[in-house]
Amino acid sequence: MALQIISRQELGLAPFKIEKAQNKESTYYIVLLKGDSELLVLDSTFKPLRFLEDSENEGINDFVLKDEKLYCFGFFSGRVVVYDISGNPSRWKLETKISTGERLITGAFLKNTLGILGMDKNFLLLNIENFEITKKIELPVEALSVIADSKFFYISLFYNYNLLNNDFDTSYGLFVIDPAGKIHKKIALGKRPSYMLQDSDNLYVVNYLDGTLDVISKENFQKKREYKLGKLPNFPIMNDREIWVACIGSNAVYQIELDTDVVHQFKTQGSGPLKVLIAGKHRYVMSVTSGTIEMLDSPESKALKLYGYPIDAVANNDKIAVLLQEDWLSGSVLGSLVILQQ
Amino acid sequence: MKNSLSLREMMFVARFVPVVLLVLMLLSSGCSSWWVTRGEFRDEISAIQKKLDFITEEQKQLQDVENAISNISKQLDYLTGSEEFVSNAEDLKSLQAQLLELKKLVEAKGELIEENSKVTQQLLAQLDDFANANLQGLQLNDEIKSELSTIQQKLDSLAEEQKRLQNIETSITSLSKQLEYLTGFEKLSVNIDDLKSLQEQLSDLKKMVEANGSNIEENNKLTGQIFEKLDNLVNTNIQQFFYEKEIKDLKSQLDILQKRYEKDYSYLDERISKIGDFAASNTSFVSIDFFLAEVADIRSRIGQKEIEAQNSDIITYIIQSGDTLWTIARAYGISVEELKKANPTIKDDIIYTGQEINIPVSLDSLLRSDTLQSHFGLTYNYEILIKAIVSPFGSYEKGYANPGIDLKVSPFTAIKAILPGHVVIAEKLNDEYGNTVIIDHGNGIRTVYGKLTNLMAKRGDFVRAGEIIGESSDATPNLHFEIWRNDIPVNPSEIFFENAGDFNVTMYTEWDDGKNPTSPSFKVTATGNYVKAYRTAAADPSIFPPGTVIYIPFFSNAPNKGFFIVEDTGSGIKGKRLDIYTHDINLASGFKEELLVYVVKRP
Repeated sequence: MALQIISRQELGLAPFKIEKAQNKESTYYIVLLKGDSELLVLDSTFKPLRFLEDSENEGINDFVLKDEKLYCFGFFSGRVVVYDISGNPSRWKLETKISTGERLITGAFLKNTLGILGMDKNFLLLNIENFEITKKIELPVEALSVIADSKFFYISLFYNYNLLNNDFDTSYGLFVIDPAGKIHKKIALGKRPSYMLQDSDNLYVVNYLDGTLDVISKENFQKKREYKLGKLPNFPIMNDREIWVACIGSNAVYQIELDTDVVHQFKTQGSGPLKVLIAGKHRYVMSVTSGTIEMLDSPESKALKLYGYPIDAVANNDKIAVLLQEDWLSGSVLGSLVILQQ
Repeated sequence: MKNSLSLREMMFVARFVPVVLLVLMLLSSGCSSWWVTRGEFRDEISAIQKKLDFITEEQKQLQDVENAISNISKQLDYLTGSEEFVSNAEDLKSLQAQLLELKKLVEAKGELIEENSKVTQQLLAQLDDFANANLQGLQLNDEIKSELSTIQQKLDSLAEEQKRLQNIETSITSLSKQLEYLTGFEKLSVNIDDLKSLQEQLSDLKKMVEANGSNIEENNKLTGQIFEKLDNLVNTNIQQFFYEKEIKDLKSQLDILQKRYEKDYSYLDERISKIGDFAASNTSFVSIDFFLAEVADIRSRIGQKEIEAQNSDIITYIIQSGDTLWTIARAYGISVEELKKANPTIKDDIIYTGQEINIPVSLDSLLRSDTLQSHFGLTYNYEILIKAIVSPFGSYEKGYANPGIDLKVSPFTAIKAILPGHVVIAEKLNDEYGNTVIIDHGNGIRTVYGKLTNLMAKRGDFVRAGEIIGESSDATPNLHFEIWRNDIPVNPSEIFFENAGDFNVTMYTEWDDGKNPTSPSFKVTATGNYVKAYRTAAADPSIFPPGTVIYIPFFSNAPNKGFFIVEDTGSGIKGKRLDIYTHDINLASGFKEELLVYVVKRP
């Protein structure tokens, strides 16, 4: 069945991320409007409910969720802003703000420790029981992303490769850090390792400039294999035992079957594919240059024009919510939320 | 195509439902069948209303379909009226007739959908009134649910039909764009078989609009075939003629410049030849945009050279009937004595028609730096200027290169002469120009102010700079402005803005410096704004500080009409270099041009 647009709503400046927030009461969605540092709460049908208060001056760059709490990373303020998101959204409230003195990018949880990436080549460990910073680790270059399992934090040293002098500023692409803040392992990877996925055995790291995906064993932190992708691979998505990566520079999406090592390539109708969305039994890809969304596993279906720059999307039953960072219909700099029906 | 309810059926339903509801209300007590709650009923109403809003929005697009078809008809009128038209006039007339029929059909469809929408809205209003009534324990039975379901189906059917018409709209708009290139030609040589095939396909398209049973896939396939046919037609015949014609015109203008001033314009000559060679070897449809952009840049440069070549210290003016020393001196802000001193051959204050005199004033000193605002009422603001320019200098919307600029200014704005001069025309020129004032300023410079209402100057008047010559109307566009020097049209930007000269222009994307979307500075400029295509430019801050609004004629046919705001910098952007933001990686990767740039407004 073809996708249809059923509604379109202007949101604000530079919508960036939409994520599902499940609490004991219901399912909600939280939208980060980066431009104005606002957090918008939607209900399970993607209907806007409210803005969370006291976020406008923080310059929130990202957020993570844990145990019915929302942890936001303030890039301008240098604060971790924590909201209690239990119960009905009308009761969600600001719990605390913790100053760190650093420009914050993103973070990940390892038990009760929140590992936070700072812009200025550092990694902070924050104890979320007493909100104390327990450790600050210097990194050799700016990092981009961090994930964690029950043992370690894994940090991608994105700016390992210098584009101005075409050389590595550091020989390492990945740091493995334990909960006490000790660097457990330093791993060499390709140029500009960006986003990571993991399972119980391995790490899967996209090397943005090399156009590859490295598989690193969690047992010995050795590189097990490398998958060749297209140009400028972006957000990898894991679904069951498959990884999907959109390559913005090749107008293609790669599907890696982890158990068989088979790699499939899908050429996209749209140009500039950014991200794959798994929605039920269908896979979609959003393309930013053409401003479209298309079904990957149905070559007969046509790409749907969104008339905007799609930056993120989520699916809920038969509906898909797409965030447009720019809305080309309105012509303004504001973004929109477009709801699609499958 | 689903069968939608007829108008009569909808009216029947509209009458029937309130009665049912009323009966139910009376019998409501004591009933024990399965009920729909009030909340669910309200939700249904709300969902249907949203859908109707959506369809109403879609409805507006039918107007665009009609406009597109109207454009096709106009183009064909022009073509079949051309005396030097070679062959196929009859065929094209037949084409024209088919398009007219198509137009009527689409209009009829649009009316039917509009009627259905109105009736459905009336029905909903009735249901809404009932739901709002103060009825405690309102209960609705299956019959009401069934009525709501019927409405839903009706709306689905309307949406489906809208979608079909949308597909047709897209294909007809493309048809129009393709056929635009047929205009402006002196000779047209088109393969008869190709044209007949095109007619057959249009006939099929017409049948599709008529037939209720067609489906969207078939429609898409057929329109795809029409595109291909037209594409080939344009590529092999029409586009080549168009390119040749425009290159010939540019070269002719350059020849005039070269003979007139005996200067070295080899740079321009090379540029024209380069685009000519490129066009000759690569007439793909995509390159037409690039060709038009290059031509806009070259036309602007030629006009610039012509304006630059004038004597900057004095104005040479040829006396016209009715001129006196007094009117001339007054208009140029000097005394009669000063005028006579500059022209020792004038005796006893007597001047003659056709006599050439020198006016000791420089035109530059008479021009205001804020002409657009002071004379046409337009603010030097990025958003305002983009909206105000309806057809830029050099655009081909009318089938020929616009020698001026078409603007939308506030209705009934007082329009003022930008320079002093003799009014040579002040009347309705033709349908295209409307009420027009043409002024001779000396130095071979003439300005044209068209589409005016309430002319306030008359032929023979000698006006001062800033004198009101007429008013803009309330139409769109409502001001057409041209400036010529001798027989070369000059880009009005030479008057309105500051010529900053040539810049090396490249394009960049948000991906160029290897950033990723979660980087804090992804798509963020040096000034802290978010980049936007057709707006953001990166420059050396010592040349163009952030906030500078610039105009690049090469991009005048783009959505931003050629206007950019300097919002970004770059380590490699030094001196006379500009980097224009785009989110199209392919466009950015090969783009490198030397382009003429104007400063519109400094911060």
